[in-house]
Amino acid sequence: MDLQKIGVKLFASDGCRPPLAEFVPVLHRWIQRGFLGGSLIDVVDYRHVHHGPGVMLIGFDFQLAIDEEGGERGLSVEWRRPLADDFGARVDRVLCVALDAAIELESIELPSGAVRFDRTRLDIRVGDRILAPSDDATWTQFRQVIEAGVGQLLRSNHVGLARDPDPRKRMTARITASPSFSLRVLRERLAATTPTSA
Amino acid sequence: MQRIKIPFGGLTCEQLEVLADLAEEYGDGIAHVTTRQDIQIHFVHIEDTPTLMRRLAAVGITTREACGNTVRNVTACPIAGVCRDQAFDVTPYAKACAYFLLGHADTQDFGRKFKISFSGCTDHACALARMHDVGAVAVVRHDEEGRERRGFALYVGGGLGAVPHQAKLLDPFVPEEELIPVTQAVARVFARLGEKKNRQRARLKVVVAKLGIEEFRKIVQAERAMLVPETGWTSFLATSRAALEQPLKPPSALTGNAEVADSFERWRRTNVYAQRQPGYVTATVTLPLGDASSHQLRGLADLARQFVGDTIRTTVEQNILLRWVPEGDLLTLHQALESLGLGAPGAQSIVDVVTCPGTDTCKLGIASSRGLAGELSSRLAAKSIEVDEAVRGLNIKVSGCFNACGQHHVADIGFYGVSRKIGSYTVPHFQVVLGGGGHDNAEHHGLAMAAVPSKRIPEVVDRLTSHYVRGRVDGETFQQFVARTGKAKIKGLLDDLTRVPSHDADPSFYSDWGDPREFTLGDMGVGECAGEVVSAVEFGLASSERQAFEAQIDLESGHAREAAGKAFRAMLEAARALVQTQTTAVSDDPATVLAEFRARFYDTQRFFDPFAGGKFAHYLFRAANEGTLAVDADEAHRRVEEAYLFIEAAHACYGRLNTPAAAPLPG
Ligand code: SF4
Repeated sequence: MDLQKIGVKLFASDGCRPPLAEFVPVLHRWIQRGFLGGSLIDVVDYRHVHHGPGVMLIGFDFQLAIDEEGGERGLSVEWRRPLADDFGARVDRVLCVALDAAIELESIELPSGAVRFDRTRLDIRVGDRILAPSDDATWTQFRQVIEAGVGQLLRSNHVGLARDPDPRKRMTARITASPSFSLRVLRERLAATTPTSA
Repeated sequence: MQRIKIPFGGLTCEQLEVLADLAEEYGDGIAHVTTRQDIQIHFVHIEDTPTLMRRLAAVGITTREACGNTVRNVTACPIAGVCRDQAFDVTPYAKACAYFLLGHADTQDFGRKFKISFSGCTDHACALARMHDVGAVAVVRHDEEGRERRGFALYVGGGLGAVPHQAKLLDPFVPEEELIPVTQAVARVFARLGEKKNRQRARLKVVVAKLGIEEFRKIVQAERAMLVPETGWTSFLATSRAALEQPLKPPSALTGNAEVADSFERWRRTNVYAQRQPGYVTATVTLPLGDASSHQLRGLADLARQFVGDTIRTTVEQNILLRWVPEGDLLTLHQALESLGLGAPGAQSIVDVVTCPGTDTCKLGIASSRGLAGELSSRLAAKSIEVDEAVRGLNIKVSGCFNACGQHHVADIGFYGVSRKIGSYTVPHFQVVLGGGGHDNAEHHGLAMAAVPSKRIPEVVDRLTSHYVRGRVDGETFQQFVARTGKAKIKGLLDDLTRVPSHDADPSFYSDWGDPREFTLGDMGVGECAGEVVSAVEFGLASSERQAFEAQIDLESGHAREAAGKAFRAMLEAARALVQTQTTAVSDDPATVLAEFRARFYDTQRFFDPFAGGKFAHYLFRAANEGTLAVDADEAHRRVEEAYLFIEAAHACYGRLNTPAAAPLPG
């Protein structure tokens, strides 16, 4: 089974909901600066879609969204191109982009205040239903890799892992950690194996 | 972008679910309903398209001939079959026609696209038959023995685009068994006589306009006579009278419920249509800007399975319909839609703004049509309770450029994106288009009134609608109101809104809706008289717009030749203004201006649009050659439209004379 189209979502902290419009100029600036590397194409505004992808940064390799899927604000990165290496390394690659973006967002003061991400949970998903149908077999394999990779990454935390119960959604692992993790520490741990995206 | 053809807009629950998955896996998580009842998924990698197409094919959807020089998606009234006013259900005919022509040898050699629509009646705008290459309007006749005969009034050569053409009546009654062969004959004539090299002239409307409808009719009849019969012409007729759809549930009535929420009542008023079948209604699911998330599509599929089965349709207003809802289920359905964020009222009302993709994803886009549409929708929705009943029923359509994919010509209030150079900046504007309407199958096309800065368009809507509420006389439609009031007076109403404050006074005018970036133009790079040259050029362009508007007034008063004459002079004035950027000594003599313009701007291709090439210059040259002697109302309308496009091209050319550079975002 070849797990591709990997996605990661970091959730916004409770009560941290600056208007989505405030992210639009930030994402445009990222394009101008070439932040996150790769070829960044455009910013797309889906604020009008209820619980939708919100405001998106479209890149050639990945899409990044300040989304509201499931009614939960967060930062999502969906990888769109096939990634080489093993699954663990692929997840690390996507996680790096998400962490770089999250750290950068937390460092900026938006007009209505600061952005802060929840450090106790994240989602990791695989989007290609043809290569990886959302069934028990996929979950078994997915779980093993996530447990190994994320377990190592969150080695100082107690980690919980659950499968999103909706079979029609992309296969999603919901990861919880206690005590909370540090975005920077995770990023540094990944830096040893994964090139910086910023 | 992957465009997915949905013939007559018909979808099943399974297809909706697959579209949801594909949007999520290969696109940006959004499925977009287009003004041709297609679905589009954006930002798809080319390498993913084979898999995507296979997955669509597995649920009976083909993407073949959704784009390119082909028969595009065949559209039809989304309430066909359940409509109270229809002559008969056009769905089987639209379906048979779509699949007969798909991949047919006679439709593979067009110079450009070919659009077909089916309408169940003459009076309503559901299928906009008269703006299509072929528009089929259902007609019932009775023979001498009183037997019902089904057929179609067939219109040909309509189209929007830069210069809209009203379709001409080819035949008031094409019997049902002749529908496909006659359409096939029209397609063959188009393939044979249509332009192949110059894309700007390669539509059926040009062939019909060139030949005249009588000559065109003769050629089509001769072509029809030569055709070798095919089984697909009539095989579908055996089942065309059997109901295509069966209701999932028995009919029921909505019982009185004192607890009914306001939101339900408002939704019911605008989004629910009582079907011809008692006890059933059609519910419109309003999609803001035509967009739905994968999650919402799956939710809709679930609701369709629960209430109506496979009776889903997309609409040209970019919404989704659920047909055959038992009326008694409405309240539960609405609650479920609300939980998906899809229970908003306002279908086919002023808040339901139709738009093309504009600058978001279209490379021809000039201004952000989606940004503007989103802004207008949310402002209007916020005050929908106070909006007068008469205003609620108006429609707004927005295109990102003159190509009219947002159908701005056939709206009560239409807008299309243009730009204006103000000092060293380019400022996004929209032309306000009034006088058109989608009623009567898109029989009336509006004309441009004035270019207004993007950021002032919401004020334009406020002003026009409140003026309408105050000034209309009993039962007057907006279109009638505009005609009675007169364009000169309405233009006067908007004049102050056309002004752009200086960049220092209000920099927000210098960026578009939803896009904070600013664009600047470099210095003019002219000699010491630059100030004078700039003002003379801008003055000349403004004066040409005034003349084009006066041409409209003549048109409105029925003075076709005068209108055409003024339209020509307006173009000449704009051409002269451009020539002034090269030499300040320009004569007023038309022949000299034409020669100077040709030498300095046409031969050098300076005037050429990056996409349309020299098309707009030809409007000027043609008007100069043809004069105004043989001008009728239709021709004058076209000349006025062309004058506006020429002037827009002159503005764009003037802007291009200095290369714009992207300025960094502030902060
Ligand atoms: S009207 Fe213009 S901007 Fe809009 S989709 Fe058509 S070509 Fe693109």
